[in-house]
Amino acid sequence: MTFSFAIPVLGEWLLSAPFSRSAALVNDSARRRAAFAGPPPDFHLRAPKELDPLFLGIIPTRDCNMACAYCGFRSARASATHMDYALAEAAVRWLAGHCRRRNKETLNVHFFGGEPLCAFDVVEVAVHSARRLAAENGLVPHFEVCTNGFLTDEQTRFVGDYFHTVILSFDGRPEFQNRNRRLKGRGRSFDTVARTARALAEGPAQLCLRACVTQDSVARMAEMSAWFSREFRPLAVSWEVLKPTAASRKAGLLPPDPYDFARGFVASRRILEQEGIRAVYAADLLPEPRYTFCPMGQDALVVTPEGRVNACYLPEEEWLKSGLDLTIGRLTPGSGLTLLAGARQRVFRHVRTKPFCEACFCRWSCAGGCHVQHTASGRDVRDSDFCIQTRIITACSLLHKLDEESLVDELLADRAALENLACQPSYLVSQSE
Amino acid sequence: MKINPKPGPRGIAVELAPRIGWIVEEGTVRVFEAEKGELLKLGYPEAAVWDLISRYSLEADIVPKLAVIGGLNRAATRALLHSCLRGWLRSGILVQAGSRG
Repeated sequence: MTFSFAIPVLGEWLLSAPFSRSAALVNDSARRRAAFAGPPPDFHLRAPKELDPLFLGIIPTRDCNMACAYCGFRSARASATHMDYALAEAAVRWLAGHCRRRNKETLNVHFFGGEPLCAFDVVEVAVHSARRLAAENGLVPHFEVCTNGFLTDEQTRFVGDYFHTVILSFDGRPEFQNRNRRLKGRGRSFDTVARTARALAEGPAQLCLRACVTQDSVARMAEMSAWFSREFRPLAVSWEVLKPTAASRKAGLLPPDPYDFARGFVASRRILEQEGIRAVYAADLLPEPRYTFCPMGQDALVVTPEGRVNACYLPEEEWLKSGLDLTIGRLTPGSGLTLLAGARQRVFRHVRTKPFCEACFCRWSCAGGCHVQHTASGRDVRDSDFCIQTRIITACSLLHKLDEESLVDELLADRAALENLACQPSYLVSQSE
Repeated sequence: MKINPKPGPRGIAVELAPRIGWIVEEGTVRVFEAEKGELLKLGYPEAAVWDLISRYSLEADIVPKLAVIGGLNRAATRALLHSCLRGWLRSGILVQAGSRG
């Protein structure tokens, strides 16, 4: 039997073979007999010759109507520049032409911010231009938006009518939402955002709630899951942990303990899955192995309000801090898309170079997490909080696949066993001890 | 598909006639009258006109967007807007503002 990784679980070994999508729970003698199998040689090790974007991202503005206590986008200082209508149209025109030439079926456009709907007029122009171009080119338009939900009724109706997927940032109960996700001027956002969520839940768009978990809210994940399910009937609830910033520290917000977060996520998943709602932790096990955590490395093109084309939707200052340059081209209404020579290849190289992940059993599921904030070049992330919670959640997901729910309960109740699981120097089958 | 509960262009001196609703579909907007069924199937750029007049009351808010969406100059865009409004008034889908009683 061939496996890639061996994970210690309460005196037994959980063996994982991500490329054959198999797992087994075995004793030590069987673990010692297991042979190693790595990724197949053709597993996305270099950039495809031709550009083949997963989607086109549009950032209508970096401006935002909220001032969240943990915002990594620094909304208070963000540029209020709005994208020109002509640039928004040029972006979807380029995509429609590309999709037609490549015989694609779907015109896939995602909107990011700031708060993209702060430039609502740009979104209107982009959506209608894309719908027109899709109709002219025999394509099916698909629109997704990441929003804070602080919208007018008219904006909510537009999003409900025209968007297929809405990722709504919503930290849950009023005591968390109003503290973490304040309006500029410190007003409370809960009532409006909850109203938006309810309105969207009644429409055809797929609603995904994205909640940021702090030290204060981690113990409430299970209870909030039941509440989200009851009140908003989303398609999915995505749990993220607070990424500390100077602003979040000033506001007294701390990230959750990674062990508590993993327990909270597993409890949440059980509650949500009973209601047919997907619980998402972005670095969790997926049905297929992956080489990248996010659209970066999948040729996603993200157009900024100024017309730069980036491989990532994060603000430029975030990559620069990590020593990265993720600008891959420029888009203008007159000339269309111009790619910078070698820029895509540079992004792919960064995505696949994860020296500190090579011996981790999450290498082909979490794939190193955020390429900018977690595994930027040279950063040793072994045993970071992100790695700890990801390993526990991933191991629980593998056990879940094996119907070992009682073992999951036993494991989560045993802190020493969790630490042993999460902090091994190597999980490679050939090196595990 | 979703029928907007309270549609209605405002302020361009027209509003939606009673019992009219619409559904946004892939590439089109379908306009219905209760009991009678579908009255219009709007492709682009008319579908964009329909959507924009449901939110904006001033020509100045509509024309710059519609010009880009439709790939038209300002004069042609105004002509398109007015032609749509006249046609929809004629067919009874829109009525003069205030005439709904």
